Amino acid sequence: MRSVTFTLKERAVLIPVELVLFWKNLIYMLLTVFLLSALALLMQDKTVAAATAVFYCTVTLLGITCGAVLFPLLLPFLPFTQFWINGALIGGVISALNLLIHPGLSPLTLSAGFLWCTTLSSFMAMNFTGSTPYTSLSGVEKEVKTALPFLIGGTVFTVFSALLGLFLSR
Amino acid sequence: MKNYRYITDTIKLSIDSDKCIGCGQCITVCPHRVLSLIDKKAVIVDLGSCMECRACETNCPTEAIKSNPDNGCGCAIHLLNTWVAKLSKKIVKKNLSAVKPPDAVPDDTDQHGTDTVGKHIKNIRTPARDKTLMKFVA
Repeated sequence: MRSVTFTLKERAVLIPVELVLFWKNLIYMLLTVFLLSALALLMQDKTVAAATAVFYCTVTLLGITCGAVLFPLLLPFLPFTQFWINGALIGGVISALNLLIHPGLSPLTLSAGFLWCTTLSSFMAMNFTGSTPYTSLSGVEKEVKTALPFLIGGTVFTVFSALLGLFLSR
Repeated sequence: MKNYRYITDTIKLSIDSDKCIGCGQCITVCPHRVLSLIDKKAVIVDLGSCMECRACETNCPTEAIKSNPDNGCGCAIHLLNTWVAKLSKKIVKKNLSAVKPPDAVPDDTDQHGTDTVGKHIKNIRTPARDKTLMKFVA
């Protein structure tokens, strides 16, 4: 009898596909980061603005790496059934570590970065449901319905906290 | 494949054992060994590993198996796009029915709500590409 497999190699070949399909969104995100850093330049001094820009770029790239690279590779070892929770877990851990190497930024900026990395990683991981040979359509429907409020909430809080971080820490 | 388990309580798969003739087609095509032949009837032995690919359903000669009627892969972005398309269609319908009778609603989206296939075909063939292709033929 035949049976499908999903080995490390089979998961690894899917990574470039995910990344290539996402590049347009990445450009939009980086454009937003540059807009934000331009705003930071108006509100704060040059060094803080540059640090903020670098921080948000790092966090965005880290989020995508966690969700689209680390998640597929670690898939069999992750504890939860639903993909988005696992993605948030990886994104959260990595972005918490990332906070340690970015001292000097305001807590609001740091929390915005943490939330964004976690949310993005969670979304990318959730999108991986379309690439596996074992996720059912009805299951994915349930997962998306559960995850959507959290993902939207995460994004909204990120935007608020990023803007507040710019205005309050003058 | 035993390491992988997805959400199990939503899976739609059922067998009408009165219709089943025990040909075993479904067992051959199932990629996850969900079904088994017991007493010359197909039986679900591992519902939790079903991915609703509908291979058993389409290969059943007597239509004894029913799975998830919604077609398509379980891709989150695709699902979201479908929902957004459905929602916008509903809004358009609502607005149009306010001014026109409901049968005048335009229906230009396919069942997934997006025309991705058409876009791809447009991308593949361009005059410049045709020229380079003709070089190879010559």
